[in-house]
Amino acid sequence: MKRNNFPLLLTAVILAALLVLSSFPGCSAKSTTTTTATAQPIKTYPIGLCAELSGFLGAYNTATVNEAQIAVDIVNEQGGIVVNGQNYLLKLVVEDGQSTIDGTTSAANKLIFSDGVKIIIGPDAYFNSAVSGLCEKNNILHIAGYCTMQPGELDASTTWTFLGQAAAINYFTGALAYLKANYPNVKTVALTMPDDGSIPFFGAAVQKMVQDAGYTVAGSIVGYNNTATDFSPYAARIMATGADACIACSGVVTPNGNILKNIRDAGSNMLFVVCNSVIPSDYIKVAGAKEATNVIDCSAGYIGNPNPSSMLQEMIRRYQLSTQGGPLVTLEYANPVYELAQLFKTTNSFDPQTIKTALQKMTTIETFYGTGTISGLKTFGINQAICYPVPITTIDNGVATFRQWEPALVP
Amino acid sequence: MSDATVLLLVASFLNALILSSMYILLGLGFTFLFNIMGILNFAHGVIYMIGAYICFILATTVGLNPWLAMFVSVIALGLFGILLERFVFRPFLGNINLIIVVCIGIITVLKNAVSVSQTYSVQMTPPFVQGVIKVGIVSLSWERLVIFFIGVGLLILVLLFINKTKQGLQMRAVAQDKEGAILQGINVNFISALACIIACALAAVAGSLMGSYLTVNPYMGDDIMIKVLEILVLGGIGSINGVLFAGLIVGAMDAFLPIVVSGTQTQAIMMFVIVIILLFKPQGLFGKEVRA
Repeated sequence: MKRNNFPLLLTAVILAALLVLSSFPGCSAKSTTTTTATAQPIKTYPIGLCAELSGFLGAYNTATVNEAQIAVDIVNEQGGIVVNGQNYLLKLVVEDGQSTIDGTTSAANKLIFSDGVKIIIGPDAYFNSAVSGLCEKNNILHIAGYCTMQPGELDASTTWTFLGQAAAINYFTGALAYLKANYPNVKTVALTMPDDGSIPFFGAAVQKMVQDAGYTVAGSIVGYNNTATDFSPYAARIMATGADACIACSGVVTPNGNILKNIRDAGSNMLFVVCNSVIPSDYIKVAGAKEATNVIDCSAGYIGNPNPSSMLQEMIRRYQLSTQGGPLVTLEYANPVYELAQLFKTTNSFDPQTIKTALQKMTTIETFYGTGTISGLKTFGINQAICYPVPITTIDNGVATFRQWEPALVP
Repeated sequence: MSDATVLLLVASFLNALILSSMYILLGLGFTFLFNIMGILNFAHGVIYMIGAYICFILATTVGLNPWLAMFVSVIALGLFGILLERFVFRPFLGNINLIIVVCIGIITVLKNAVSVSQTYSVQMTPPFVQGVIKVGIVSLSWERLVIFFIGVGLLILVLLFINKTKQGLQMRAVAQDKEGAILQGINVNFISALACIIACALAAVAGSLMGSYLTVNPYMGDDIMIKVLEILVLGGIGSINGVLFAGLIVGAMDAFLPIVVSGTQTQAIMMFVIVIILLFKPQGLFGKEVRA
């Protein structure tokens, strides 16, 4: 092939790529807007959703965006939102943060200045700092789904930001309360979490909570690289602390599951406590059935826990229909949708200032997991985190057993 | 020295060997292509990822035995290597800019195609072997040992191939002097295709094994590619001995540094060490010095 054929070849490659990509359902623009079909001219109200649809959180956030879309569908099918006598359907406007701070900043800018939204949900992980400041400057109501407590995510300076689902600290307080009540022999604990910049903040907060609960923290926090090729060195370091238990304070399933597997393979049966957005069955899959034992799991994922709220039941029914029976992931974008729908109805307004003021005066709000409590002054420096009951599951020999709904509170 | 410290050191030493074997496997494939074709194949990471996915899908959806699934993955990516050489690399040989653009195209298309076609669930290839071996105070999973032995075994085979077979010697000849090799009647296109097949097959083995040890995801090739580049630069681009030696160094740093510092510091220290070495040996530890 002659070199001057390159433009033709490149064009063909690009066209082929576009053809391949457009053939996947998740890639079309339609997937990011409401699927509710209606013949009558009815107004829609856009809510921005800043999600990490590509990059290392891509697969995970695609699922959580789908959950948010189901929440929007539920609200719309129940008649939508009536504000000042006008009926509205909610519509998600999704922008991809690409699992990077730069990408998330771009996505938030696009939502605010191009899409013109007044309310933003998300993003995930440690990317809030890219959104909270922008929302603060532009009076945009920001309902985050996760917070690693780094400066600028949620603190006294971010008055327009609320934590719609107080992960990860909510899971941690739930797990700690369960540990304290049920494992009196545990005296020393090792702490591990991703070294994503949150150790001096989230790490320091959980370390203090552990010490306040009467435990001795063995060694320093073992911070791992989220994208490490091998997690066995971290497992070896945790074992070397000689602690009675290891608490994986946050993080996703690949590192935590592999650390658990390596601890077990190295011959230790130390109690392993995981508190994050990962369902027990995924831990069993990654660590292996034999290795997934002596584990306490505190996560939002549903595995058939008894007494779910009616809204959660409906969410589960629809999600399982759309995923051929898959378990829910975390609802960290769906819960803010549900909370906003209540706030629109209560205030009879879409005005961000009105909603913000109303939310600041409230003490409780309904979440998919039951009644949520609005707190966080001591932890975040601002009383704008919605805490909710969390399910506690134990895993032994690869079998997950639901224990209780822990009414976890974040001080 | 306490038992815990001994255990930590022994475990880290074993970790270093296991990690090094995987890094070297991937680094060798990359070096083959550079030596024979002069191509820096930045798409090597996604080829590794595709190898992992083929094995994963065959082992889970189709229900094949993981070993058989890995074998099919190796064959499939070997064939892909032929197509890669004939239709992607050969037309642009000698033009590094075009090669880089083509590699970016391959990365984008393959990674996004896999990403959007997968629903969220934790994806892992079933284990190739199970169980734990205990020697004294040290326990080690068979899975990790198998990864290590396969890595070392393939390494020996590749070195034997290069040094003892006719095609291997032809590869060395092409790498040393392409024009001279052509004049000697060596079919350079065939040798290039062979290098592509070996590189892709090695990536398939590494991807399949790591897809069982960790998890399978569309981005799994990104970080391993950075490791490969670290190894190549440190060892000297194009040097097989350099890959072996640098692979051991990077593997050792990856295994030992996390026991004293946290995750991101590990990466920073590793890069710092590499930069220091390059300050004194800019061509890499085993690279040839090029004089203007």
